[in-house]
Amino acid sequence: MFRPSLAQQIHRCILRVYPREIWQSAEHEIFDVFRARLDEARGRGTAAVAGLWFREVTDSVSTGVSARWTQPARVPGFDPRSPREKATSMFDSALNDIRSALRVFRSAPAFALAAVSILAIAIGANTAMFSVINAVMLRPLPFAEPGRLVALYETNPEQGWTQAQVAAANYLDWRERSTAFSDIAAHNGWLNEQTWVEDGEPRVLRVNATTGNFFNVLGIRFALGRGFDSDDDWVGTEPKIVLSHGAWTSDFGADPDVIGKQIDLDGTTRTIVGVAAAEVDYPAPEVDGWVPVSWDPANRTAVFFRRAHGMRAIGRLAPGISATVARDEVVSIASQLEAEYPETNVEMGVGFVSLREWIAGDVRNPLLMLFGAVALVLVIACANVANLQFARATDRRAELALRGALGAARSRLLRQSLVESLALAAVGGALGLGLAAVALRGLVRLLPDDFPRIAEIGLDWRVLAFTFFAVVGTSLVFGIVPSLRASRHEPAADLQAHRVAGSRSRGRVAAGLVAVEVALVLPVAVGAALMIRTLDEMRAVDPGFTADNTTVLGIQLPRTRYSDGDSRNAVFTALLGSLRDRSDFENVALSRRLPFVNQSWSSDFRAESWTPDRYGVGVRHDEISRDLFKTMQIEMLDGRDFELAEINTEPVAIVNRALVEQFFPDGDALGERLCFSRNAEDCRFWYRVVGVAENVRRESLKVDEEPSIYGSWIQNGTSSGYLMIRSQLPPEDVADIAAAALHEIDPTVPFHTVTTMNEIVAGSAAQEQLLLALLATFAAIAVALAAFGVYSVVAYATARRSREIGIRVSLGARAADVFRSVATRGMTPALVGVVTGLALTAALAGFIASSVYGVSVRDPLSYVVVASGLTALALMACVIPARRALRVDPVVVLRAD
Amino acid sequence: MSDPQTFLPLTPLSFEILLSLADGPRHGYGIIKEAEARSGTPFASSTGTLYLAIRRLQKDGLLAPARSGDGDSRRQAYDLTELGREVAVAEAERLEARVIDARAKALLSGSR
Repeated sequence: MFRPSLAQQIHRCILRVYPREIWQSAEHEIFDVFRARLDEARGRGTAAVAGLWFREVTDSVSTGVSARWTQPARVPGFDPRSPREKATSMFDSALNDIRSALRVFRSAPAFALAAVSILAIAIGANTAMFSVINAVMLRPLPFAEPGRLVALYETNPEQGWTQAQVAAANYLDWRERSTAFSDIAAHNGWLNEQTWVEDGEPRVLRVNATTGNFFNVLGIRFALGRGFDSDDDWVGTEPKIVLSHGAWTSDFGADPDVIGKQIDLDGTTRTIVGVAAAEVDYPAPEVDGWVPVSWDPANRTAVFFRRAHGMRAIGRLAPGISATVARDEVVSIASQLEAEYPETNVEMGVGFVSLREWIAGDVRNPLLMLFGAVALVLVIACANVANLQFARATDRRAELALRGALGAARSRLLRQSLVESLALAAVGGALGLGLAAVALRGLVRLLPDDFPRIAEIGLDWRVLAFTFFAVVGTSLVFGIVPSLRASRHEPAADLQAHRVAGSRSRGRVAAGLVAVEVALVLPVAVGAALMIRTLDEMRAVDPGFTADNTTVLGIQLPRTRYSDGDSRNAVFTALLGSLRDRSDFENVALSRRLPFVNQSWSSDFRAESWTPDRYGVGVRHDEISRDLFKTMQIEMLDGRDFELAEINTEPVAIVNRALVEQFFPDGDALGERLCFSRNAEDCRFWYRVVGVAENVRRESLKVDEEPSIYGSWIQNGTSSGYLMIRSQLPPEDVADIAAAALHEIDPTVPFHTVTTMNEIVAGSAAQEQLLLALLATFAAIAVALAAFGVYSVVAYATARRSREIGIRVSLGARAADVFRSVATRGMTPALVGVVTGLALTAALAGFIASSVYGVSVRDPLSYVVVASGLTALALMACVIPARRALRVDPVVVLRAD
Repeated sequence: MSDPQTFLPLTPLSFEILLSLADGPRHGYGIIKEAEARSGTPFASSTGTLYLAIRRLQKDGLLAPARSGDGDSRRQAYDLTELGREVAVAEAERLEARVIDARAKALLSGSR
């Protein structure tokens, strides 16, 4: 797919400042010319490239803005005096404002450079964050009428489910009974790794099983072909597959004749009927294709079909039906089902949220928090630039007073001052947009692959509009107060202003701004500190297993070819047998699920010895082979491990300590028989407890393990999961040895995933690490800006008072006294800021609560460290100018008078 | 046809563009290279501003799209119209008159 280069994206943004007719038809032509200039400049070195970019941005902003201002315009094609196009005086004076505003860049380059860089960094950071929020939360989903799509889920207070996956039978009943939805589709809540063989090489496709109406309900566009039919819900139709655009491109070479071709996927021959449009990456960015669910019609009345909650349901609201009406309807359907199926549906409720909100999911809160932090940085930047403006306005009092005396209206001076602010912000915004484009590339690389809607992150019109409003907003915020003051001077006093030792009210306003800056730094910096503490706490958590030296390989046997437990067990016992005898492998075992990666199932259970009305809810279960506890170095507390040989013997289970403590506090779990149902009469299989294992954190490092029951992989005839190998060899070697062993047994089955336990553990803290990286970046910017603010106030005051200081020193004032009086200028507002900031941080702390772990959001240590660090930094920012003041030679200063 | 005098005075950028096209059609980058070669300094305007001026000169009928004179057919070239050439001449004459004035005031040394 064509992707414009970064330079082109930035240049395109810059061009947007010109009137539409300039770039609309000739964008490529203009960029072509610019690229030629850029290529030439590259030949002359980095400085030439930087110079070209700088000219391109500043000239575009100044001419582009004035060209828009004077539609249908004359700049710079013709002189305003040209009789063909008479300029009104308003346009003329606006033009003059812009010209004189742009003069700032020449007359006060240091000021302009400081202001523009501060604004560019702050607006850039905000634009980058907004781009992510825009992609995840604001952009419409790439489906037809996405606003009418909702994600339905089941709720169950007894099980503690708030947004659970849906049981297929319940879904089918909703679909049949509901009128508030045009239609409801469903798909598996996970992706299935399925294999096919191409040129003798096994390859993996990650497919999602969907109902036949899935593509219609979502309104998915196709690059080629079409979707499924409603018949495809049930077995009996020809097996089909729809490919994702990514898989079509990478695995099928974007073959335009792919429709109608057949692939042998996990032993089923499937006809390719469609290729989804490029923008479709639902239900997960890594999806390679969709296959029909193809349920067995006999399941419709089976108990497990209503008990296994494995589907996600998506409804399309019927035209004219509000969410409230639809919610009332599905809730009433759910209570009908509760009455009809007491065995499975007790307390089973239903709810939904918009699909967009559903897809944004867990990242919503952290994103909003980060956006809040970066917005604070923008306010700090505004305060900073306002302060610079003040200093300059005071220096320019004579100029402005002169213009006032010569008859310039106050409104005109005010306007000019505002336009000057706008020009600074516009140039800063244009550069910020470029920075954002660069930062986004880095940011997207940092995000996990399964980050919602990651492919959509980029600059679009919403981002440009955001940047535009940020520019106008910031220029008003940092420009209005200095402007009002600048336009209000008394000419007589101000014409002599250079002789007055600094305005007292200017000092007060500047001090106020510094206090604001410092106060706003605290929430951001404390947030970063809290994330450091969180990661520390997470690192200190003992997950209950040892991750080092463990290689993990994902495997899934094709179910068509390995349709029964015996054929599967033949593969797995052979595989384990050939690997476990190697002297360089310490332990080898299988596990159905990976900690932190796969959600485990949970269900009700009961023990044989319990009274009929007693049962437990929400126990997790997993299937493992012998030696898993050894491989992961999980302590066995009681009893024994599974045996590879126990296949057709009495069903056995191992439970964890949490289960024993909660349900068998007298320690009599061993030897007890358990079944996965709340009613004894439904129990067909009873599992004898043969062992008790230590707790392991498997859902998340942050959550203590819940009661769990491990079943035997071999007894259950499990077909897919993970091979875990503990070895001192490098993981690549381990993977090669295991792959060779598997190839011996069945050359058509690959390992679909190769990773290490350490990577999995590290990945479980990825979100916290990313949050820390971003918060720390924002905090660093905020701290630097605030320190600069303190420094500039003190430096300015010191420069203004050099004469007074000179006199005091010559009259014998002690250095310490002078130093103190100068430093007070900066330290007073800094300390006021720190105290206010601490209060502000405590008030805002709730926003970060969902992201921190193991530490209070009002953790005193974090607050104290940040506050004292900031105070120390402010002191340093005072010392530099204060020392300079002391080096003043009184003679020089007094002679200058 | 419009009176060339109504377009005067031209902005420096517009005059540079017309001057660059005086000896044949050029595309955007060609205009920049020609102007740089004549003045010996880097072209000061941004690419967008160049096109702003080109569009306006085009709208006023002083130049028109053309086939490129240097054989590069992939890029859009521009050529002076009859009116454009007249305006360029008129602007040059106007400037020449100013130069003569300057010389009369001894701002420029006599013969060159």
